[in-house]
Amino acid sequence: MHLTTDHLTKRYDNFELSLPNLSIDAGTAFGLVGNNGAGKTTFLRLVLDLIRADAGTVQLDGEAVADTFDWKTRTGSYLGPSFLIDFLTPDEYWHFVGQTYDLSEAEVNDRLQSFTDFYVDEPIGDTTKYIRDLSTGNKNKAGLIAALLPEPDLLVFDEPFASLDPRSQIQLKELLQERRGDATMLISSHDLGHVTDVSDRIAILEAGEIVRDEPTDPDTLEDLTTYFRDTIRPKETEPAEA
Amino acid sequence: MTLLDALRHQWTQQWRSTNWGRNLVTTIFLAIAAVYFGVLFVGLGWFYPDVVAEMTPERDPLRLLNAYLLHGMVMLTVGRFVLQRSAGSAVRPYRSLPIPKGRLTRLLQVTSALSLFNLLPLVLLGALGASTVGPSASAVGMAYWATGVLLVLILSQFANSLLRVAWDRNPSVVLGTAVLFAAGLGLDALGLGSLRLASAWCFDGLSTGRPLPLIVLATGAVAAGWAAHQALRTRLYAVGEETSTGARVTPRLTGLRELGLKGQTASLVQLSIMLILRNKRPRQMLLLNVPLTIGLVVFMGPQLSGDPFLEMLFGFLLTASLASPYFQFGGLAWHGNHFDVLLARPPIPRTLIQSQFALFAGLCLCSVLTVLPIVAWQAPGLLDTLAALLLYNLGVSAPAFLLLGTWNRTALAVNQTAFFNHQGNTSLAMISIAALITLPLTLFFGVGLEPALWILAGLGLLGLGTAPIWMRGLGRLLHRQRYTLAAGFRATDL
Repeated sequence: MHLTTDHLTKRYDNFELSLPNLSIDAGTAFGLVGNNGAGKTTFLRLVLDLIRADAGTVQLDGEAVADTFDWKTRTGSYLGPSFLIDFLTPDEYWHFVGQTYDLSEAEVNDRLQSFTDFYVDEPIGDTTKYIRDLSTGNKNKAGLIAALLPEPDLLVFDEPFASLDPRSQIQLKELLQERRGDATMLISSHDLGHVTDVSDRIAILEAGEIVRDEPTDPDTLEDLTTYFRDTIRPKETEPAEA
Repeated sequence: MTLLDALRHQWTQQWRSTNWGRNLVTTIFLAIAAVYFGVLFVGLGWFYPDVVAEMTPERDPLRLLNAYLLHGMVMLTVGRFVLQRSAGSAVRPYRSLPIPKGRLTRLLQVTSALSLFNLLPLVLLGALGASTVGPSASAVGMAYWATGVLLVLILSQFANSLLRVAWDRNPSVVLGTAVLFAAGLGLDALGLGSLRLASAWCFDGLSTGRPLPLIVLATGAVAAGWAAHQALRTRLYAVGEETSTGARVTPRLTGLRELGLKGQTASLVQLSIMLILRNKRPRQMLLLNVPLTIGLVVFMGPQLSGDPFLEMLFGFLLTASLASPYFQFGGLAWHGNHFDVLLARPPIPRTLIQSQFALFAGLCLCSVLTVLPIVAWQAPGLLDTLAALLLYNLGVSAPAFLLLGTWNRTALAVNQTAFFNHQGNTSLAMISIAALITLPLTLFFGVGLEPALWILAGLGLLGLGTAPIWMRGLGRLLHRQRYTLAAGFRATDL
């Protein structure tokens, strides 16, 4: 799906997110990095039509997300544990999500097979714990699987690597690599290494504005590290008060 | 760790809670309610012989009381199971400390026994003992009787602990036990049961100074105490497992998928059913309303069919008794905690509205089916009223409740207790419900019972006939309100 913004603005008390003309081609994995409060999650919520923009629109394949529904059947997302239904078991949650995408039970079961190596700590099946009783890592895995399950054209993830153990982080990268090229991916992360590995293009969001937006290359990780190091260096090099 | 430490911790936990203000208000409410019910129960117990003499002068108050004391124990156990805080529900922090499991279990039993469910029955039984048993029994008989009812109270406490542990392990065991007891009480009501005979043998015997019932009750209490102790000790492990990777497994709820229903609407209905059954507040509200509804019909049935006003009022309440606890908040507020999940997924607002209507209709039908056998038996004249008001509720109340749902901005905390809990209540909801009740009553006073029923049924049919139109309208409204609805739910302090 081709994602564009048209003079998109969202204002809070002392903050304004402004993305006048962002364009992400279909099949591109778009990484979004930035410090806390930069507006990453706000942007993802606007893309998913969870909050109303103060001005402008987010468009998917030319249609404003706030005015249409069809894009939702082609979108999978996970923005954190609050995006889970915690009184369901993971298995029930996946089947519920599958039904909302009009997937048959057999299709859901079939697709879940590809996640058996990823979701290993808890049993997938008839009896398991409620999501509210899972560890944070396993909650996140349940949400990530639910987002990937419909094999959507647009994937939206907020901090997908957070709280995952190293093994699961590597597996998640492999899962995302498998979808690379087929799905447009919007991935916000504080983990510069992982987000660089899975993205075709990375933007830095700073105080509500994109200050840098470049395709990834072998130097991207070092460039990003340098960028964020430079933002703190002035404080570190200030001479101590006498 | 001593009992004093445990009590001190409970007090500190309440006082330092982020909800201490609400806890304080709740405690004050609870204290006022306890005093009120205490006085009421003392009065009830004290004047019980006079009431019996007035209503059934041919019956001996003491024999009547003794014949139903075991029924009281059963009802008390049911009440405890639904309402009383479970022993062991806040034990996790103590499990890692060097406290012997036996002591911890005893502390749990003692602290959970400090409950109004023990205090209020004691007050009532004390008053009954003084007014009814004392004047008729010898000193020994009185002492035996008092000891006997105390043992029954203790038995009820232990039975609740056992049921709770059984519920954790396998809810079907508890449901099976409940069905057995319900069948026993039903047979008893028909004069075929043995609970009344057992109760009479036990307490008539005690009040006449026979020691055998006391030995039976004491043996039962000791056995139940031992079993409850063992069960709670086992439960301590289950509490520990919740924090580790060892899964506390939960039984799978047979879903609508297994019933062959498919599609987004069925899926959303299934989600709501799971929400009700798996979360404390909606579950308590539903479970409470079942015995209340049945009790209402059993005790009021004959009077209802003779009084047109009561017939109209209770007809409205009975046909939505299981739906109204859930829908008084509009329905969507229950999903407030995960409303973003629904927004980010494909179901369109109209599908959400359709699923909420299907749930409302299902709960209304369950409400009617719950009371139908009793009404058909005790007050068949009420059937036409129920039919008319069922249509009214489906065709008029349903869209009103769903409309209310699009205006509720406060998410409901689903795992809080349902008692003394006003979280999420709005004055708009109260006004809406009052308006929905007022319409049938106004019609009744205006045109009489039968024409009012025809009009209400007609309104209901009109509402059902136009359902596709108003559902589309409500879907559009929900679509327009989705940002403010979601923002309100996110901002709710759960």
